[in-house]
Amino acid sequence: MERELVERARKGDRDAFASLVHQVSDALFAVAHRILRDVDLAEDALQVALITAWRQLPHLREPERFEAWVHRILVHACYAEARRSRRWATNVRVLPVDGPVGPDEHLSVADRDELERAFRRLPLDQRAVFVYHHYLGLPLVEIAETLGIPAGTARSRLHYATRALRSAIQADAGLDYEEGRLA
Amino acid sequence: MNDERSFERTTRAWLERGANQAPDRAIQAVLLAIETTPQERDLRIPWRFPVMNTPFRIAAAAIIGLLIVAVGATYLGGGSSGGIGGGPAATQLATPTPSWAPAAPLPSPSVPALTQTFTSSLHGYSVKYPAGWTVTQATAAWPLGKALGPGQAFVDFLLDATALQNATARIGGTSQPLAPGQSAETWMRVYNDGDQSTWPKVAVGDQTGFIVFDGPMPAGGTLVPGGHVFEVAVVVEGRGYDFTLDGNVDRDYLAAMLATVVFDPASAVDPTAAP
Repeated sequence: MERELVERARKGDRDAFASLVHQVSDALFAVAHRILRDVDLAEDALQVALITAWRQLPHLREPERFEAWVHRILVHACYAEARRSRRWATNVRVLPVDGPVGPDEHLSVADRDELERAFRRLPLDQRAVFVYHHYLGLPLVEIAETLGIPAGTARSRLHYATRALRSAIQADAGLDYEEGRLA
Repeated sequence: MNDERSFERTTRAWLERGANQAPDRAIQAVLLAIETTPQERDLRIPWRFPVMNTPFRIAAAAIIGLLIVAVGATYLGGGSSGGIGGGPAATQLATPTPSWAPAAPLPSPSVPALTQTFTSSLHGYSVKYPAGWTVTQATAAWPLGKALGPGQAFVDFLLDATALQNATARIGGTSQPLAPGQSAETWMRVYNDGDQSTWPKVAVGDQTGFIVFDGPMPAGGTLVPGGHVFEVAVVVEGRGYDFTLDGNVDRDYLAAMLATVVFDPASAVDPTAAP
């Protein structure tokens, strides 16, 4: 991320901000999509986050921290979108997440469905830490810094999310076993 | 799924699935929005002055000292400074200008004359709207379980301008058939997890709708900063309808527009089930 671009954007240069938007929007959208599990909500969260970033950019003290700063704004936008969607949505079914199919040699359909269901039951703050850790590969200290939370809080959110997902998958595996035995 | 490594591989593979590219329309919408969105002013005092020589330090210390004395006198000196009749200097010190400014209050919306009629080609209703508005017909059915939001293809949109960045009011309408065997009450409960008995009611044509969302939105969530969003749900003859009104609008605006709705569920077009 070019420090000069951030500096220019801080001073109101819209072209500079547009360049920053092009640099960060894919990564932000990918994260929002994985946290919210819905393309439309992720798109709304991305827009809200980028517009908020533009408005608040003059307050950014360390231009080299722009990327982490905008990720924090994004996560809060995701929380807001999720709250809004609970009011606006009719969503009671588990919907498949749109998008290209990635590598899945480690992933059975049952695992995938179970992960999807279990993940959607997690609180948003746990989802965010899980995505930053397992999708972006960030260490907990960096996640804590990015999200503006204590490292211990990040660790405990990851712990609870991991435990919930593990339990869900293990329960599913147990059910498969039971069904197999009864058959 | 027996060990930590297997769990991590599985979750990583699962997380890899999904969209990785921000839609162009979202980026364009952002770039369009910032054209008319001012940045907040940064009024905070820098922690350090870039150059601070000795005379400057002495002067700065003197100013800070005077300020401390002034503030102390204001708050501890008794007299009129701490009471209702405090002087202007005290008022200024007690209410510093915030580094961010809340959205300026919007002018009270006035309900324009509703002289035109929009008839949805897919969703089985019509509504009256003011002259000069831009109409965008929905091009898709509203899928079950799909969250609503501005700009979706399954929502009809009427806008009080030709371009989004100039608009101050917008209404959207959509509908879907209830699932087989589903009652109106169940659809409403599924539709929103609140307590239906507590939702305010509003006339939608000759029906009674429920205001299921009534509040301000975060930045970017409505047409104008400080704007309002209303969402109204109603079931008519086995069909669930949703209307959203947002921007510089109020309850009167909502009531005026929704009162003109005419339902015609039989004319709605739904996708036929795949064989």
